[in-house]
Amino acid sequence: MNDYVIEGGSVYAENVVFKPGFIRITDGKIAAVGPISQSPQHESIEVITVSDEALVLPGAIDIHIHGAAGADVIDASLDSLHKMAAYLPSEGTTTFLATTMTQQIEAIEKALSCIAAYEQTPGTAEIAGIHLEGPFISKKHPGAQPRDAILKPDVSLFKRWHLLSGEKIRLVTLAPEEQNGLELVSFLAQLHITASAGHTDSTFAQLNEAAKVGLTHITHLYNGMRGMHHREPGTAGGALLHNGLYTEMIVDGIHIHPHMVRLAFSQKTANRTILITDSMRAKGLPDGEYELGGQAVSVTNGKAVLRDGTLAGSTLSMQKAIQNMRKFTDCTMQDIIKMTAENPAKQANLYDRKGSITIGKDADIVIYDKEFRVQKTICRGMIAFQKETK
Amino acid sequence: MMEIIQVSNYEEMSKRAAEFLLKKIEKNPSLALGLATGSTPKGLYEQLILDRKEHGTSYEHVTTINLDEYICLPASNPNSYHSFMKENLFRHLNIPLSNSYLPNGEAADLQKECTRYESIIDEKGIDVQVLGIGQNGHIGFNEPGTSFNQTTHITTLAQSTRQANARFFQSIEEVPKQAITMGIASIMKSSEILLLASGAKKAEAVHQLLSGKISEDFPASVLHHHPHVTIIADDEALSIVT
Repeated sequence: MNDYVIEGGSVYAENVVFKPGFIRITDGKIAAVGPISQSPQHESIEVITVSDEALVLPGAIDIHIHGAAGADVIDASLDSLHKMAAYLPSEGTTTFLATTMTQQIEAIEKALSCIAAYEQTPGTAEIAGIHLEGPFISKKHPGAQPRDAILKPDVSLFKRWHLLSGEKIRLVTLAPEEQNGLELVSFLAQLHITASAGHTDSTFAQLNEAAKVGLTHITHLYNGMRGMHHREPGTAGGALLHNGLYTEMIVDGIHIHPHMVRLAFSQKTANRTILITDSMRAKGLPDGEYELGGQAVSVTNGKAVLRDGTLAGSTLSMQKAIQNMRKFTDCTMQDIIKMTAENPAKQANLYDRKGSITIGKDADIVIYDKEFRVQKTICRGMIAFQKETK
Repeated sequence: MMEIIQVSNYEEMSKRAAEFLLKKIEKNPSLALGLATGSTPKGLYEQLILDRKEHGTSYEHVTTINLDEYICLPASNPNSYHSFMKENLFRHLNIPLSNSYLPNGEAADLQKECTRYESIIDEKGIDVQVLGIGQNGHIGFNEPGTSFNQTTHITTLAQSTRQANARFFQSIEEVPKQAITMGIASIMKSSEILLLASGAKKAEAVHQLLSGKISEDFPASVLHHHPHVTIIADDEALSIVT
């Protein structure tokens, strides 16, 4: 199947929706998109027909995800990466940044070299790069990142890691207020790697300083940061008020109260919001006992916590994040596309080839029913997930 | 974002457009509706009249604001847009005349009339504006080259537009040379826009609109800047492959 068309449904192309529409996919790329009447009518071209109620959207790009289906990036195993890539299309994700966590230097280096050696498998989600979360973070807001492995921001160590990863690092979560933090932010900006404030104790002023030298992103808003106070807006207040900062949110109803999601959305709008899952290995598996970077994690009703009750990542799926966002806010379809595809593509420096249904881009497409349940997922032109029909 | 709803023919387009507007009226009985004239919306109006007969939808609180009117053509002339609206819609519905607005092409001070009309648009706040599209991309009587910043103004009709409209008159000489029209900026103030296109004659214009190129030489292209546009177009109007 290297030349076929998808016909029917509401096709959400860049700035235009075709009801019903078609997409032609040739050699893994989008070759044409338009109203259904313009679908090529050759007998030789295979047609996938979808229902008129279906929503045909660009695939989600999860730029903050540690694990799923029993696998975790920090396992430093090719098998784990393959497992994640194979599992994620089932929730609407077609591309992700393999996200590391704060660990001892050797463990991080192992994980980075493993991703460098990873080869993409057709018909699975693409690992488009790395999100390095920690270790250059604040000991004041470690969350579930092991405290004893936290390091001061270090440009030369980062350089070594970037080379080791095959220059695949696209996003770095760090605490800009730490010693040499601003130096690392401006170094990343020069390399067009996104610098993100997260697990940080930045004051309002410190966050704005960092934004001046190139910080453009906020890791899991509200979580792992200096909170908002009316006498010191903190990292959270600064994130909400700075128009230039893209803001990740874990919309599982656990990490952020639904009304605080609404607050952030009204302030940041869909133009600066990014939905992430921040999921760990228990996603897609039953409740029970798991492990996160050497720490015991217990999962009950999908809520993952360390022994001391600290939230330890999520078990959120991308489709659930979208369903929740629709419930918590009045966001539109176009907003969903911005928050799951366009914005993360821009922040991961991938927008030239992903993030919208546009001629020439990768054919990363998700077909949802009207309740936003994934029906079919296409990764670089190949069907990667198909909901079983009863 | 622009939503393109494809239907098979003119009748389907008219039905879908009527459903679209009736849903809005149901939600908001005091809807401010921007209306257009010409052969494109005529079928839509027929559907609204049919619905009125069948379901008794009330227009008691609806406000209508039309796009344009010829200059120096008495409102009583059968070719005036006043007459068109009365014949094809108003007299069949219970819209109070005081709630229906059209520019006055017979005003002694036309400049003043433009200002007055624009203030009506601002005061009422159009919820949905119905538009057709000219073969040269005009919307309202905003011909190619009109500034996107233009509000209600006096315009000289393009020769092609006069020719297209000549079929309603005895001869092309009788077609007025000027009109008062909502400007592009006035149209863009509307919360939502519903653009209708039917037939092969409109295919080239629809094709150019969908190409996404934004230019004052093609007035309808401004709609790409509007956050909420729905286009209902039939197979023929969508027949040129992009």
